[in-house]
Amino acid sequence: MLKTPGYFSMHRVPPKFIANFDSATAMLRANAMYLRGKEFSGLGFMPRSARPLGTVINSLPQSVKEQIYIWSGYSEAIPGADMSKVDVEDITKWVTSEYPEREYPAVMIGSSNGAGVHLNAALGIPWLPQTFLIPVQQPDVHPDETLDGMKAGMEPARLLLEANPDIQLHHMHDANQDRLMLGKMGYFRVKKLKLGEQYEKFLREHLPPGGTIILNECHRTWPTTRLGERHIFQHGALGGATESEFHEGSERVTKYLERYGSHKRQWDTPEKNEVSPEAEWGFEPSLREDVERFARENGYKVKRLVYEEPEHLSPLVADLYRWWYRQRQLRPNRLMLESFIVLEPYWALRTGSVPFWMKFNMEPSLEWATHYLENTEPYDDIHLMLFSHGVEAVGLPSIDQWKSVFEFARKKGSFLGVDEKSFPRDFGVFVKYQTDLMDIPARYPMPGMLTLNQFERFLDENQGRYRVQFLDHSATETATVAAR
Amino acid sequence: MNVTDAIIVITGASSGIGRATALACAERGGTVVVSARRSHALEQLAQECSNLGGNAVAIPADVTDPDAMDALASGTIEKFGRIDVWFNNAGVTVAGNFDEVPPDVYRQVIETNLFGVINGTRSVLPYMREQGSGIIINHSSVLGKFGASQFSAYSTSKAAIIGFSESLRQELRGSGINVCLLLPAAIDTPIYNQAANFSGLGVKPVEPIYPAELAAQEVIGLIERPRAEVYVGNSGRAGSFARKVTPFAASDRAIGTTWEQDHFTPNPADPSRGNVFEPDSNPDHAKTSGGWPVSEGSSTPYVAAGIAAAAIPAAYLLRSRSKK
Repeated sequence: MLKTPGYFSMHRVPPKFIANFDSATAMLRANAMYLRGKEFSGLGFMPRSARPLGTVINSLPQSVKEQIYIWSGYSEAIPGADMSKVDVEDITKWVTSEYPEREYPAVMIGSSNGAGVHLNAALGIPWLPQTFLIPVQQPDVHPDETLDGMKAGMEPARLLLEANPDIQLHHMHDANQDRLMLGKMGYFRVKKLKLGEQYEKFLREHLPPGGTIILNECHRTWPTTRLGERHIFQHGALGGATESEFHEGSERVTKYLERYGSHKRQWDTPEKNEVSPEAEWGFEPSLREDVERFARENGYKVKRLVYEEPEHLSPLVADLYRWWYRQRQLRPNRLMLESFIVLEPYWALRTGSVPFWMKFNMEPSLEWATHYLENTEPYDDIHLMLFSHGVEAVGLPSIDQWKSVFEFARKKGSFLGVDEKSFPRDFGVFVKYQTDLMDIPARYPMPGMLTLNQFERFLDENQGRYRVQFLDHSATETATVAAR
Repeated sequence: MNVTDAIIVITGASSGIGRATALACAERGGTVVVSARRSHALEQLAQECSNLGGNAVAIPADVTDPDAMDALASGTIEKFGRIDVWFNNAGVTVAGNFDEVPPDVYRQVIETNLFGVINGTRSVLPYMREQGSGIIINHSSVLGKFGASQFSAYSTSKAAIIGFSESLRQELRGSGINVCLLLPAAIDTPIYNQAANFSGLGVKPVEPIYPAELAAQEVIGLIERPRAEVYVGNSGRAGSFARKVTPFAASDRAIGTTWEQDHFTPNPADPSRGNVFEPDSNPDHAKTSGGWPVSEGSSTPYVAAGIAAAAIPAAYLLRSRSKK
C-alpha cells in the first residue's frame, strides 16, 4: 500500500510517492526547518556529516556519477499501475506536519519559489505548496521521444486522476534538463485545484480569524496539449532552451542531440491546443477561487503576490533582506546567489547574507542575476551556490561564465560547495553547499519576524521597482498597487 | 589568541591601566592601536611601544563621541584589516555625596564610563561579526559588584557595564566573539589625581593598592584565554565575596565606612570637575602610575581583612540587635 500511515506524517516522513529531489519538497522543507529554528542541510534529507560522501561522489568517473544520479531519482519513482493508490491528501497531511504547532499571522499558499521561501522565513510564516512532483516509472521511453513519453503517461494519469478528483495533472517532459532521469521516470506534476481537508484543517488550527492568506501566484505559462479534463501534457520546461526550441528545434538543439548521440536532431512535439500554467512554477487559478471561498467562511483576509517569471520575486526579496538588515542596524553586505533547491534560509540570516534565488543553473538565470547586480548597490562579497543536474544542456553557461558574477563583488567572490571541475556533474554540491556556507566566519543574530505591515511599508517605499504585485483579493491587477 | 599576532585597540590608553596594557602588549610584539583624548600623550606612548618592539598606532578619540569611535574602528580596519581585541578601558570618576555632585558631572561620568563602553562596542561589533571572532574586554570594577559611598556615579556606571556585558555575552553566544569583564580593585593610576571632586577632601585609592601592570597582565590573560570576568587584586574578589555572604546592613556599614575613611586624605580640596569634561593637561597625569604607594608582598592578609571587614560588623550588628 502507498497510503501513508498517521505515524509517518506525525514524524515528518513524506509519502513514498513524492519526490524528495524536487523544488516543492525541498523548498517546503527549507521553509519548515527555518520555522523550526533549524538549518537546511543536505537539501533537507542528508545530514551535514554526509559531506565526505560528496567528495567521494565527485571523484568517481562521469558515467558512474550519472548512474548514481539516475538511480537515486529512479528509486523514488513508483510503478504506473500504483497511481490509483496515490492519495494527494497524504502529501498535504505530511506538508502540514512539517510545520511547528503554533499560530501564524499569515500563511502562504501556491507556487513554489525559492525567493518565496526567504520571504516566508522573514515573515515567519508557513507555505503550503500547490504543486507536487510524483515520479512515475517509465523504463522504456527514450528521453528524446517526447510522444512516447506522453503515451506512456496516459494510463498512469488516468488512474491518478480518477483517484484524486481535486487535482490537475501537468505531465512534463523536458529532455533538455531532465535528460538523465527521463530514461527511467516520467514527471507528473500535480496541482491542487482546491484546498482540501488537510490544508483547511491546518489553516483553521494555525491561522487565527483575521489572519491573512497570501496566494503566491506565478503567472508563467507554457504552450501545452490538453489530453483530458484535468490532464495536460507540457513538452519542455523553463530553463536554458526556449519554448520555440523545444517545439520547432534550433541549431543549439541539434548540436545538443548530436552531443548526446541521439537518433533525433529535433524533438517531435504534440500539437499545442492551449496555454497552461507552467508545470513546475505556474499557479493554477482554480485554487484561488477555493481559497477565497474558504477565507470568506472563516474570516480570513486574502492577499495575492503576483508575478510573471519565477525569478521576478528574487530582486524584491534580496532588496527586502538588505532593507531589513538596515532596519535592524546591521551592516553586512554579502550576497548569496542560490540556484534551484540549493538554498539556505537559516544560514543566510546567520551569516548576514542577502539571498538572491535563481530558478536553475541556465543562461536566463545568469542573465537575470547579472541584471540585478548591474542595477543594485554593489555588494562586498558575492557567493554562489550552483546546482548541478548532470547534463550539458542547451543554454548551460560554462563554469567560467558563472564566475563572471564575482566581478561585481567589491571585495571577493567565491563558490560555496561547488567543485568547479565537476560542473554540471558536481553532485557533491548537494551536501557541501551548507557546510561551506557555515564556513563563512560572519555570525549575525537570528531576527524576530518581519511583520506584514513592515513588508507593505517596504513595498510602498519601492513602488514601481519590481515586477511583482501585492494585491488585495478583490483588487484587479491594474489597481493602485499594481505599480509595485 | 597569541598577543603577538593580535590587533588590539585600547581606549583610554594615555594613562593608567590602558597605558600599562599597551606597553605590555607591545613588549610581547603585539600590534596596538592606542586611543584617548590626549593626542600628544598618545604619540609618546606609540613611540614607547615601538621602542619595545611592538607595532603601535595612535588614533585620538573621545569615547563619548560615537562618530569618533566609528572612526577608531574603521581606521584600525583600514590600517590592519581586522580587530582581534577591543579594550573598552576609558574611565573617569567623581568623589562626593550624591546630592553634592553637580548633575552634569554625574551624567558625564556615566556617559564616559558606560556609554564609552557601549559606543566602543557598537563601533567594533560589525567588524567582529563579519570576522566571526574577536574579544571585547570591558573595564568595570569591583565597584560594579558593590556600591561605594561617595562614588555612586562611578559605581553606577561600573555596575551597568556588568549588566551590559553579561547581556551582550548571552546575545553573542555562537558568534565567535567573547565578552570579558575586567574587575580591578584599587590600582595605582592617575585616575585619582584627575578625579572630579566635590567631597571637600583630597582623594586617594583605598588600600591595598595594586600596580597597573598587574591589570595589564590580567588583560593579556584574557586575550590568551577569554573568560567571563577576572578580578585584578585579591581584595576585590574578597570584598565581592564578603558582599554576597553578609547581610546588606553589615556589608553596607563595612564598605561605607572603609570608603569614607580610606578613600580620602585629611587635606581639604576645592571643588573640581577634574578631567571629566576636558583632558588633564598635566604631563604627570599621562603616566601609568599615579604615584600611589603600591602594597608590597602577598595580598593574602588583605583578603582576610576584606572578609573580616564585612564579617566583623555583621557579627557586631547581630549582637547589637540581640541586646535590644
